[in-house]
This record gives sequence, C-alpha cells and structure tokens, in this order.
Amino acid sequence: MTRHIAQKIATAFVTIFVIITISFFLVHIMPGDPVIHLVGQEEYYYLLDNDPETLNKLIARYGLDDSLPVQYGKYLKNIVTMDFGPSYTNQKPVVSNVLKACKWTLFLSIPTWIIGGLLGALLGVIAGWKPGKLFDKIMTPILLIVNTIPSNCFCLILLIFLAYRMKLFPINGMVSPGVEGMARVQSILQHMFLPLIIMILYRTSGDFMLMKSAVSQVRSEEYIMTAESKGLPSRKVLFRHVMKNAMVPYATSFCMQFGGILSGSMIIEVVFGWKGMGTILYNAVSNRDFPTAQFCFLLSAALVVFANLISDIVNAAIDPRIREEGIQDA
Amino acid sequence: MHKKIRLNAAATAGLLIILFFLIIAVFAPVIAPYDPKEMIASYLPPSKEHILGTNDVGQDIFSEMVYGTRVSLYIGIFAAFIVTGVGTVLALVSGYFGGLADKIITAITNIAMAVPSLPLTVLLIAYLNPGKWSLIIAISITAWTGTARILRARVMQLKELPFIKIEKTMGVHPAVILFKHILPNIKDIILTRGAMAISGAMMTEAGLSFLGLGEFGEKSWGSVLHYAFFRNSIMKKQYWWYVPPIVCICVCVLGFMLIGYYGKIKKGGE
Amino acid sequence: MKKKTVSLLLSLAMCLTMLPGQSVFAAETSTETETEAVSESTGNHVENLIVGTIADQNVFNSLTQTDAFGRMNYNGFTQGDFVYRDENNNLQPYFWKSFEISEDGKQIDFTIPLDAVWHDGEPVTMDDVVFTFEYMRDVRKNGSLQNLTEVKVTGDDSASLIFSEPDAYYWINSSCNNNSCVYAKHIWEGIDDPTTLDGPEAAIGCGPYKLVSYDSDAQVSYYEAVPENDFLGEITVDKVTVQSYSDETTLMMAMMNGEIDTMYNYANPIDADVIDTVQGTPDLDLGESDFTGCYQMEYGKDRAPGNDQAFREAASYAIDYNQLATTINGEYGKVPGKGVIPPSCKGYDESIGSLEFDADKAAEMLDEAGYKDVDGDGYRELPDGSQMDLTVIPQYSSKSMDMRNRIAEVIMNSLDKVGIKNHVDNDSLSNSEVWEDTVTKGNYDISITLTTSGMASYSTAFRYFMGELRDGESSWLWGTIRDDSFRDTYYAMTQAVNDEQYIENNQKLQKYVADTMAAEALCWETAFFPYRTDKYTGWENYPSWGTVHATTWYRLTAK
Repeated sequence: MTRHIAQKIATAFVTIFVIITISFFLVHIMPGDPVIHLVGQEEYYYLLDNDPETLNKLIARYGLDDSLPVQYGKYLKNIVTMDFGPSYTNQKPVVSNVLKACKWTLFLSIPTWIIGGLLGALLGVIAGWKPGKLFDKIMTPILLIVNTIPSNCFCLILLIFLAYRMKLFPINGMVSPGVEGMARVQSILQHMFLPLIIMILYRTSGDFMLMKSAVSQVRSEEYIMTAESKGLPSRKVLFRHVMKNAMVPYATSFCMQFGGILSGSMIIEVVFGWKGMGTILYNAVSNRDFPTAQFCFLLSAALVVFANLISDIVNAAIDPRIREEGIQDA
Repeated sequence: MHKKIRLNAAATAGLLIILFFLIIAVFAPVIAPYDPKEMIASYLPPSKEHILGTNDVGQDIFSEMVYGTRVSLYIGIFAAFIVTGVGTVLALVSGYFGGLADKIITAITNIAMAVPSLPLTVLLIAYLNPGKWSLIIAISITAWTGTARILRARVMQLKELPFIKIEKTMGVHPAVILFKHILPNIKDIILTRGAMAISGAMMTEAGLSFLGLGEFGEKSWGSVLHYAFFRNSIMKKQYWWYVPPIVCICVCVLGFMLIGYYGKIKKGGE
Repeated sequence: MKKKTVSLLLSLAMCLTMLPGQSVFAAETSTETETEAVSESTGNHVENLIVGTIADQNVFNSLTQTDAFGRMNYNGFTQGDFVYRDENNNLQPYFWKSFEISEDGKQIDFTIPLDAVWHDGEPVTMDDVVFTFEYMRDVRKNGSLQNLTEVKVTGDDSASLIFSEPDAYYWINSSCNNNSCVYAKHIWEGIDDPTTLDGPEAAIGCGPYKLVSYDSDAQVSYYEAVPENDFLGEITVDKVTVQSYSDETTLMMAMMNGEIDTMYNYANPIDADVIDTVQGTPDLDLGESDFTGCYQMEYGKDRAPGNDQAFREAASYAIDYNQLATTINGEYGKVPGKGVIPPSCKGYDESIGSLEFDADKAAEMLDEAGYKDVDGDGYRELPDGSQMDLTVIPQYSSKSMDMRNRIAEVIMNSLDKVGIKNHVDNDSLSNSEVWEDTVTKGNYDISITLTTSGMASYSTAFRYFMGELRDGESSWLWGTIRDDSFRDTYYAMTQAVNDEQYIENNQKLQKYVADTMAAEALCWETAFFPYRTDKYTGWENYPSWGTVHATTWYRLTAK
C-alpha cells in the first residue's frame, strides 16, 4: 500500500509539471503584444510615438524580450519562489490579487462542497434504498431537471424573480459599502445567498444521482449475498453492509470534488459580479493578463491534482481490495 | 446477446423532445415566418405578425429561435461526436492493449482532467478564429475524459471474459475482436454517454454565447439570450425575449439528459 | 448534521469579515483627528455626497488614469488640476489662480495660490510646480511638452512656461484632463515608473479632497474635504463617497433606491435601454445632454470600391440611419449630418446637410455608377465585372463589443438589401492586435470606430480618418484619407493658437468629409448622466460629462 501511494504521489508531481509546461506554452505561443494591455491602449500608442525607450524598459521589466527557453526557465524559478510579478491590469502582485480572489471563491465553494455533499448523500441514500418508491419518484426528476438547466439560465431565473421583481436580494456584488462588524457579515451573507443556493443545488443534484445509483446497486448485490449466506438479513445489518460499500465510490468522488472548489463557479461568479477566481480568470483572459491567467490556471490545476491524489489515498485506505493487495489503479 | 431496445416513459419523452427539435431544425426555413437577420422594427411586443415580438435591431425573435435550434443542435451534436469518438478510441486502445499505450493515455487523461475546463475553453475561443468549429473544438478539448475513463474500465472488464480470452489465444486479429465483440458490448454506454455529451456541449455553448464568446451574427439560443440580457430586456420586462431561449435550452438539454440517464438505468438493470 | 454546517458557514463568514473590516478600520483611525475640524461646517453644506461609478477601485495612484480614482481626478478631485473645462467647453483656471496664453502661442503666464497644502500636510510651493513640468517632460515624456524649453519663475506666486514652438494651446487643450496637475516633489522625485509606487502616498495630491480609506471588497472609497485647497471658493461638499457598481443596471437601481446621489462615468453615458427603465422615477433627473462623441464609419479608400466617390455616395443612401439610431441610442438617436461631428462640438457647421436613407435611390445610383449584378447571383459586381465582397471591421473593444457587433449587423444588413455583398472580418473581432494590424494596413472596405467625448472635445473624429500622419507620429493610423490638404488642415486645427483658428480649420474638415463622403457619423446621440434632485441643489449638468466636475465641490448645497 505504501508503494501504491508513493507511486500516486510521483504521478501527481509529473502531472503538475506537465501542466506547468502546458500553461507556459499556452500563453506564450498565443499571438498578441501583451505590452498593450500592460500600459493600456492609449498610453501604448502614445509611448510608441514619443518614448519607445520606456516601452522597451517595460518589456524588459516584465521579461517579455527574452527567448522562450529563458522565459521558461525564469517561469519555473518564479513558480518555486511563488513570484509571478505584478499583474498587468493593476500592477499589484499577482499572487496577492489571486489569493484575495480565492478567499471569495472559497466562501461560495466550501459551503457548497460540504452542504451539497452531505445533502446529496442523505437524499441519495433515501432514494437509493427504496428505488421506485415515492421519495425516489419525486426527487429524481426534480434534481435531474435542476441538472439540465445551464447555470447562466438558472442564475437569470433566480435573479429575475428574487432580485429584480421581489427585491429580496441584491443583484450584484459581494458586500454593501459602509457597513462594519456584524452588519458586514450580514451584508455578505445576503449577497452570497443566491449564488450559493444555485451552487448547492447543482452539487446536491449531482451528488444525489451518484449516491442513489451507488446505494441501489450495492443494495441489490448485498441483499443477494447476505441472503445466501445468512438467510434473510435484518434491515439493520443490511443497511450497515450497504452503506459500507456504497461509501467507497462516494467518498472518492467527494474528495475529487474538492479539486473543483477554485475553478467550478466561473459563470455564476461572472453573472453575480462576485470577484472570485472565476471572475479574475475570465478578466485575465479577456485582458490578456498573462501572469494572472497563468497563476489561476496553475492553482486550480494543482488543486485538482492534489484532490485526485487524496481521493486515491482515501480509496486505498477504505477499499479492502487495494488495501490488502496493493494492485494497480481501478 | 442482442436485445430489442425497450424504452421507458422517461426515455421516450426525451426521444420525443429531441425529435421535436430536430424537426424544427431541419424545417427551419419553412417554419420561421421571417429571415432571422431581416430587420423590421425594433422592440415590437408580441403580436399576430411577430408572436414573440422583435429584438433590439428589429429581428423577429420567433424566427431567431427557430434558426437557433439549428445552430445549437449543430454545435451540440458535433461536439458530442468528437468527445465520444475521441473517448471511445482512447478507451479501446488503452483498455484492450494495456501496457505502455494504456499508461500514456491514462496520463493524458489525468492531465486533461486537471486542467480547469471552462477557463481553458474561454482562452481557446479568445485565440482561435471565431466560428462554429472553434467553438466545437474548444468545447470538446477537455470534455472527453469522463467517457474515456468509463469506457476503459468496461473494456478492461470485457477483455477478461472467457470467450474473448479464447479468441485472443487463438490469434484472432485485435481489430476483429474489438469491432466484433467489444464495441457491440459497449455500444449502449457509448450511446448514453453520447446523449449526455450533447447536453453537456449545449450547456457549455449556452454559457459561452452568454458570455459573448459566440460567433458574430450567429443565431444560437445562447446568443439570443446574451443580447436579451445585454439589451436589458429583464429590467424592461420584455419576457417574450428572454424566456424563450431559456426554455428552449433547458428543454432540449433535458431531452438528451433523459435519454442518457434513463437509457443507462435500463442498461444497468440487465 | 445541519446545525454543524450552519455554524460552520457562520464562522466562515465571520472570518471573512474580519479581514477587510480591519484594514478599513486601520486606515480610518489615522485620519480621525482631522475629521472633527471639518465637521463644524455651516448649515447647508452637503455632508456626504455619494457618487456611483462603474470603474473598478483597486488602484489609487494619482499618476495613472486607471480605475475610478484616476477617472475621478479628471474633475479636480484629489489633485490640483491647473485648469478645468467649464460648461461651454472653455478652459478656466483651477489650481492656477490665473493664466494667459501669449499671442504667438509660445508662452503661458500663470499664478499659483500660496496657501495650498498637500494631503500629508506639506505646503505646495513653486518648487513643486517646476518639478511637475520637468517630470512630465523628462521622465513621463509627455509629447505635448516636448518643446517646453523653460519654466521661468517670475515671482513668489507667478511663473511662465516657455515653448520653442507654438504648442501652448495644444498642450493645455490636449492634456487638460489627463494628469495635468501639480505633483508633489517630495513624493515623486526619483521615481521613473509611477506604477511602482503602491503605498498610500501615491494617492496624495493637493486637490480639494483627500482619500481617507477604501474597501476594495465593497468597491468603495471615502474622501473628505481639505478646506485649504479651496480653488474655486468655499468647498460646500464636506465628504464624498465613491461607490462602484458592476454595470449600468445595478448603478441605476442603486440611484432609484436613493443609495447614490449622482453618477460619474467618464465618456460613458447611461445606455438608452437602461434609461427607459429609469424614466418616471420621482426626484430623479435624467441628466440629458447632446453627446459630443459618436460612432462613425469610414470607407476603405485604398482599394475598390471604397476609392470611388460615386460608390461611397450611393452606399451612404443605402444605410438605414433610423435603425442605426434606434440600435445605438434608442428613441433618442438622431440621423447625423454629413460633417460627422455633432452639433454639440466646438465649430459645428450647421450649413452642412444631413445624411439620408433611401434604398431605392442607392440602388439607382449604384446602377448608374456601374455596380450592376452582371452574373445574376443577386449581388452587384464591380464596374469591371469582378466580384465585390466588402470587408467590414468593427473596432475591437474588450468591454463593449456587443454594441459594435450590433452596429455592424445593421450596416451589413442595409448594404445586403441593395445587393452589396459583405462579410465581417472574423479575425479582428476577438483580438485587438489583429484588428489594429488590419485597420492600420487599411485592409478593409468599411471600418466602424468610436470617438469618445474626451477625444471629441479637442482632437475630434477626424483624427481617426487620417491615412498619413506628420513625422514622429505613428499611432491611430486607422484612416485611409491620404490627402495632404486634409492632413495639413488637421494639424493646423490642433495647433491653433486661438479658438477662431481652431473653428475655421475644423469647419474645413467637416466640409471635406461631407464633400468626399470619405467617412460618416452613424448616429448623433443624446447622453444621459442621471442624478437625484431630492437632497441637494446647485447641480450643473455639463454636456457629455454629467453633474460631477470641478465646480460641483463648490456649488452643490443641501436643501
């Protein structure tokens, strides 16, 4: 088992390295002069006319004049030292910009991950335990339909009814100005309510489907097995057996979902003006803010790789087959 | 082995929905009362002449929706075709042959799964020449991973079946085994995954067009919704403008999802 | 289980609020002492004016124009701008107590106040003024100051700018909003790249307001008056809050709810679509005025058919200006005149006629000029019988591409209807460099561009039509008018030493464009900069600018 985990960790590192390389070339092969976005269009033409020297200085400062291999070397060094330089758009350090945005995304995604995960599991167990019964018949179509609404449409529907028409929630933004202390907490909660509800609903419906199919499948298998060995099992015994086995795939995917907590809410963030990772990455891409886009990419990707690794480890720890035999990946 | 496909009510409903939209897409020129690009008069409310009114540049919204069916389905189906095709080929190669090919394909899959897909899509669209096909490529680029993983696991299972093992030892050409035995056995999964892929691609397209990343002048449902939102139809209460695209996208996606989901349940039960 | 998650959520929210909350508090304590001195103001002062805007609030640097802070400084806000433009677009002294431009346009004499202070308490001296000009010329390389030979101090409070060329009028007009204010020597000396200065000192100026604190999570910043810097008399607005919104809709909803008193968004009036939803709100003035900027299109005159005046004249009849007006400015848009610049611009010549939409006439004129459908495919061919397919390129913009795409659609549809085949250049739509390259090389038949109100106030739309520039300039080479007389007239206008010269040359340009149909405006717009009227009086709505400008701080009073 240790060897299995060591192998997984090594794979994770290689994956991250490849992603680092891809993200570098992705951004650098693309056409376009980033200096324009660096200084702004008006200023760029102005400098081009009046002071090309300053432009060259800027190009040198951002290391845009080096050859690709040199830039790649610098880039690797910067990743190790976590120094991505200043953002093209506001000249503040990219890392602090992005981490600040991360914080706001986490306010949405952590509750989504936990609440959605628990709620989805709970409802999924109930529906999967007795498939075809009333609860299943009601919940499955509802949550299936939730899953088919594109997130931008869902955002608009809730915005139209709850924010524009009934004025229950703010349309946009993260916090009202000029409030302190508890009032600020309240204001933030109010602003995050709509995006959070939408994200939780999506996550719940996804997790529900997952848990339901896991439980119903394991249940029919277990029922037969236990019945054969011990005669008809008591509900309690059966339930414990089923849960034990259904939890394996669920726990794995629950861990994997953790990888998406930074990158999974782009459209919702953009629609609600939530200045998190999704918005910052969207803006970075449209403004060609290379360093910011790169760091966002890397951070989200690293998190996905990390979460996959954790899910592998968890899987190995709870799945007896891997625990004992240490066989290759499932 | 071969069984008649028996459909349950939900899958039938899904099929009917898709059939409905397919008919609209095919007969768009007959159904649409106007050329969707013709500019008549701006901001007309619904009337006998324009049952869904007209938009900001005076185009008939109903005709836009009808032609939009074509664009949205086109993008959804072709993106799903690529996604499923790539996923299937990779899964067959990696699942059946194993070894180095499997290692490489698994590595590529892991990397593709780690890349944040929507941001990558947005980045690609910003650089590729805008158009339907760049949208399709950008949507497909990371979407194949799920299909590949599921199919690979299934192929690995099938590979261990006695009769395939026997054929293998008898020296039957791998291509024959793959096409004669393996492919027919994973056909149902491919179809349901394909249906899911269409709905996924249509949802992504709706999101991208909504962000204003669609093709110039192209009338997809997502772009109709984009202009409705951008032109403030919500504040102006022009529900005839923003409701139809939302409904069409949701219903059509639901149609494919029903087939994908309930078709799969059926399969699992047998 | 649920209880646990709820409490977790709550504690999370608590943590998050601690962080931004603290930073604001820290910033506020430092200024607490001075707040009291201001608060003993007279009766009808405005206690706190809340201005809404759309720009971000992340950068607070007085030498950059980015973000809400930089844009607000166009209004003599935290900075001591030398001059400001009044309601009629005329320059008036602001930080300068007085100024005079010599007849030959080579010298500006000015006086400065002796009691102005920097926001850190240091006095503003003539040293700072001299430093500012040298810094702008030598370090910032301000092009319009390149011929400044000397800043001659002539007295305690008076000095002269001496130019080797007649650039005085040009400098003061072309840069009067943009960073043309006095900078503190003790802060900026030795700093080559102003964007690197990131601390609170970067926001220091000698304007009537100083930055007290900001909260970039809530996108808001707070300012209070500095009574010493009373350039236009007593400051009647004690505090100002600038609040940013993510778009016009939320901005206007906030104003309808009374959360903000007025709005400011440089050169970007509220869209006519949004205005429709605001109309009829009590105590809300729409702040209507004639917009000086405009969308325009230019025919690519480097190749056929744009190089044929007969074609251009015919095509101009083909375009549905009413549809364009509705698309761009709703029911408020007007069909433009042939001279491009709107009536609200300085030098507008009303004797020039209007554009006209008449598809039949266009078709007739095209037939006459030899553009006929020879091969029967429904589209006209060039007079020599070869295929014609116009390339249309809307100007790239990362923020407002939607409007440009819609405008392009209308124009393309109009041309299509009279049998002129056309297509949009897809490559330039999503990439600013590709667009720039295409438009600079003149690889287009129709180019759609925008003149902002700032550009319109002096340089005008004609700048964009030039196909050749004078030596040393290479930017914005978007046009295809390659005619020396046009170019010389343009430079004669921008370097005019007085208004008469400016107007005379401006009218020549209008006539040139009208006669040759080289380019045309697409719509003359009405601009809306709404504001609330229930709490304060003394609003002055500057055309194309709105109610927030240099005089607001001295004239607005509470009811």
